[in-house]
Amino acid sequence: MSSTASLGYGGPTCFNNVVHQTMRNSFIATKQHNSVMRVVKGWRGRHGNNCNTSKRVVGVVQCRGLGDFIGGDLIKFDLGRWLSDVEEHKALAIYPPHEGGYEGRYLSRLKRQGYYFLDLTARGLGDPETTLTKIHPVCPPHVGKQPIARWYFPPEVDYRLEALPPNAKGLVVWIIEAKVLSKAELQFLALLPTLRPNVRVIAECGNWRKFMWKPLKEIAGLTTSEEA
Amino acid sequence: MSFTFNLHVPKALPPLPSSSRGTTSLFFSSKHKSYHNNTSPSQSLRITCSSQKSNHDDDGSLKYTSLALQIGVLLALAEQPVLAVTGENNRPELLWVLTQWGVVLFGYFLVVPPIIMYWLWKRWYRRNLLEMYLQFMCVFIFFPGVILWAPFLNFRKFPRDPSLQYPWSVPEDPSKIRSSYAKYPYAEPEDYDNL
Repeated sequence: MSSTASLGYGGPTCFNNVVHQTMRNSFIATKQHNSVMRVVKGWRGRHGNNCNTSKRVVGVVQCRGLGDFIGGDLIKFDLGRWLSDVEEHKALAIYPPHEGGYEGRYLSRLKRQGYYFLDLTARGLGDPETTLTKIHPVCPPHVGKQPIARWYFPPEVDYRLEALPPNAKGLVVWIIEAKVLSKAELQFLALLPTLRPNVRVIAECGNWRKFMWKPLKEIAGLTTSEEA
Repeated sequence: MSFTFNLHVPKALPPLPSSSRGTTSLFFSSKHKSYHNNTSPSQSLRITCSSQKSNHDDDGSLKYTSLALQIGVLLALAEQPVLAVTGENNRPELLWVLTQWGVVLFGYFLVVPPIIMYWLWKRWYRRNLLEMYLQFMCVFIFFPGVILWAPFLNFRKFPRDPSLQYPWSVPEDPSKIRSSYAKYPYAEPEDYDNL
């Protein structure tokens, strides 16, 4: 827990209530500028409550520490901590940057460890418990005048666990777009390693400006007392 | 003889007395030669030898002056190859040259690119056409340095709500979270302050 607590910003963040008024240098003609201002005023006039918040928020300049700008691919050598956290917590929620690609470094390291991967997208998951651990029906789409079929598939996790080679270290269920899952679904995913000891769960629960991760139990709201 | 001499002078050049004097001397010498030639060939030969000697003397003096000039010119020319053989006498020191190059490369690769990237981040939503032109120009000129610094700096967007420090942070009062933001062209530059 202390190691996970060390996650965060490298420097302090200072907050200054400085109303920042700058002259707008634009090539728009005066009339067009007035029309734009009218549209903006009309838009803001519709939401009286938001007008106050907009007045408070607009013009506030946030002072960021230097540590917020230092960071990138070659600064944080955190792969060792990543491997130890995967072993310890068994279910992690990760927050890669928006442009993606950074999770590949961490995935490759797990692959070298001997894990095998089951890549799923959360949007097509259905009920996670039934899909992952039970025999579940799938109704494929038909093309015109055809009877509606109903196929039964084996459990996704158990099927792949049986197919793992003997020297494999485990199965990693990598779920993308996990931000669309509800808290109950995330709770099941957090508890899945306890049901299947060889399974690890990695859920991409959102995006952040640098690669961060946290135990999925904390994200799903499962604390140690609730577990007990 | 004297009679013929007197007759020649007024006929030749009566209006110019100075030039007449020159002609007088010429006539005198010519008369001398013709008189001697007419009298005896041996005497004429002697006179010829003497004249040749005088000519030689004149030629010798001229040659001496020309030789002196040539020698002077040669000496003057000889100075230049002497300097060329010696080489440059005020060459810059190698350490000083390396220091200058080091300062230039230090600025080009390590100092200016972070400043450019900060300038881009700070003015991205506030720049006009001229500033955009200058930004692109600086990125193009210092591109190797920018590429060198890119893996070590992080200018991605910050969360709009300054109180959210982590991706899993929960706001204290969800009702105060502003969810409707104007988009271009209705947004103002202040709307992008916390990005």
